[in-house]
Amino acid sequence: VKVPEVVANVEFGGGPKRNYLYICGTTSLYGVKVMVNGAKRL
Amino acid sequence: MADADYEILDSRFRRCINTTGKVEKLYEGCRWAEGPAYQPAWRSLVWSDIPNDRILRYDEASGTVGVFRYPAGYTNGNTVDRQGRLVTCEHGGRRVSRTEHDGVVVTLADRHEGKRLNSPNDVVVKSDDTVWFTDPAYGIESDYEGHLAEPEIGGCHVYRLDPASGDLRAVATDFARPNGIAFSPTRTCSTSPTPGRPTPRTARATSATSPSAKAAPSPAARSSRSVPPASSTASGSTWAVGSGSAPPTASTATTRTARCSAR
Repeated sequence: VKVPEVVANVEFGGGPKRNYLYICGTTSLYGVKVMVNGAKRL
Repeated sequence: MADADYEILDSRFRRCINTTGKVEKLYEGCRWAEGPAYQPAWRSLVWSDIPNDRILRYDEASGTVGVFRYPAGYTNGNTVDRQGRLVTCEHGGRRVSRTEHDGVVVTLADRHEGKRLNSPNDVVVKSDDTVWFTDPAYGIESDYEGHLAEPEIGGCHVYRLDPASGDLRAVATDFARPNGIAFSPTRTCSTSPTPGRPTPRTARATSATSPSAKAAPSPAARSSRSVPPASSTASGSTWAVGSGSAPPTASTATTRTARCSAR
């Protein structure tokens, strides 16, 4: 996933489906809806 | 065109994205955004803005952002534990803290064998409620992202805390600079070096065991792909952060397999 800034870390969110990827990119918070679901609880 | 937001380096990635979906900028104004943690019940994402010494919160329902905590102790990695509490690495306090349901922030770990931790960097809570974190020294090497101080522990380790007993033990002591940490759904524990820094070393370590087999550590993971971990999907893939245009692979980064010992 191309991000305009250097990325530090990511996290799945977007409600119970967890199909939205949050991206911490230096000065900004980015996000993108994806076709997979984040793990809910490990 | 949203297609430009993706580059398919591995065909398995194709099914993970919808190329009509664009990368969206949700907030701008951080000095260095880090450590995102999602709280599904509150439809909120919190993250650290380390040099600005604050934690921000994105409200998923309204799309608004506000300051969650300031000053925050130069926080870095955050996670939400299985009880829904925020667990946070603090460079400033050189500790891992937890925000209780009543709002009080308590220290989970700040010393190992009597010596102050360096500056906890990233944290994850395992399925057995133990708290695993990395402890490089970045947060005490300058005043930029913490408070300049001398390290007391002669190394940068990965730790495991049992919050029930308070037992804190170093589970990996042969890292130069452990950084991000994550578990896969198979309970494989991964830690990464700092992208773009010297010693580009990626390691992958197992934490032992299914709950039913605690006594027998599982073999170290044998994945040939090593990526700095960040967040895992339900199907087992890990979404990670890489420096440059290509993710680190066995050919571009030295791969090391380690085992985090667990009881």
